[in-house]
Amino acid sequence: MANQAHENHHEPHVLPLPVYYGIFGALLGLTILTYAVSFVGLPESLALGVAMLVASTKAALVAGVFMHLIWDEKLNILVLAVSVLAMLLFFGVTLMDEMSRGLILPEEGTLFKQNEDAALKEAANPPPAEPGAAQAGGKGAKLKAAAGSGEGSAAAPAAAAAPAAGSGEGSAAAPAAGSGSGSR
Amino acid sequence: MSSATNAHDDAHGQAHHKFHQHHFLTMAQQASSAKFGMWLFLGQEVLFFSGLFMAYFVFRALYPETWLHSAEYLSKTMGGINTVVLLYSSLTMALAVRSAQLSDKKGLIINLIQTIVCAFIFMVVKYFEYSAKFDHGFLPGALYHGHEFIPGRPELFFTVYFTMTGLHGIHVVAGIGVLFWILKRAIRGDFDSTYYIPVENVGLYWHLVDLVWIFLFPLLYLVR
Repeated sequence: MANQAHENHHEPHVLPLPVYYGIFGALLGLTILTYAVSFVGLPESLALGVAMLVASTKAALVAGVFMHLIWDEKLNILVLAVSVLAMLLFFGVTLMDEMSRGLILPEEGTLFKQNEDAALKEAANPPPAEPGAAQAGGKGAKLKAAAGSGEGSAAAPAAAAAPAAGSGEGSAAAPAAGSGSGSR
Repeated sequence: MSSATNAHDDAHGQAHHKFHQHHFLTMAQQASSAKFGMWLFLGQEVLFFSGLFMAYFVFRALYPETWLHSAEYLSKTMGGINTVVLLYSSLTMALAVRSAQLSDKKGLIINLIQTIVCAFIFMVVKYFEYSAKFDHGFLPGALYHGHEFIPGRPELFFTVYFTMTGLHGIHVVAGIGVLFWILKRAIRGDFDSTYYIPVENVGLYWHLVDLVWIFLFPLLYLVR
């Protein structure tokens, strides 16, 4: 029972006062920093990045020291880490979906928008009349070029170029595949 | 272990702590179990708020112009004042736990009162901010009837604004409730260095409310 009695007299882990005041000072400083940066007029994405970096630093100070997590049982750190990880997974997967929706044509099932853009370009500038055999090759080259020109704006250029090149081999193949996959 | 120790003995013939519940072996086990439970709750709170943050990011990605212009109508200064108020209340809350660890009853009570006062100041500032939004017709969803022109879908921004700050405000009000409960027990003399886990857990909750605000402030007020 000696061990149990010892645990009953468990001494609390007390931090010195200057640690609390120091952390509070740092939190105030970071608040003033993020407030001041908001008036500088940084580009939107950079401003968001800086604001989130400062906020995460503040959150780490509060969780680590004020919530005593640095000196706490590892189990409690694990609980927070797992929930933060779950949150980041949730953010990551949802944003991946959200950001890629503009790339897909809903009426064509899974057809990428780049294909449609290339087809529209083709319709606007029909290839010069040539004997049928040569036309197929010219079409493919043109579509490849169209996909290439779209690379700057495309989120995944490599992925966008591949289906475009594929549809160039036979312009009827892609829509047929789209309707065949059960979208309509 | 003097004042808080009861006269009656447990089965082992040991002096029994007044707040030692019988299904725990030791006070230390009792405290670490309670704290683990609190952390599980806080983990749930993180996930709960993450859904709202996700809504924020999705709508912001869809309507970036709306976000830039709507945030102009939030007062950075009011938000900044509330940030400082909450940070200070986090400091006093941490110091309240420290006072309890040192069996300093007077320090515990003073720090708890300061924390509660800060929570009220936060809600009062929030009241003035909400009033200004109501006057401008900046209401969530279908209630929106803003007079100033904001491009895109400003009602979505204000839906996100009111839902996030509103749920955070409800957490502050709940915090005031549990802080009063802890204050009452502190005045009764329940806490000392052998037993202060309720103070610690309320503190953890209060710090989480602060953590949520640390992210809400830049995201809502400091868009530009």
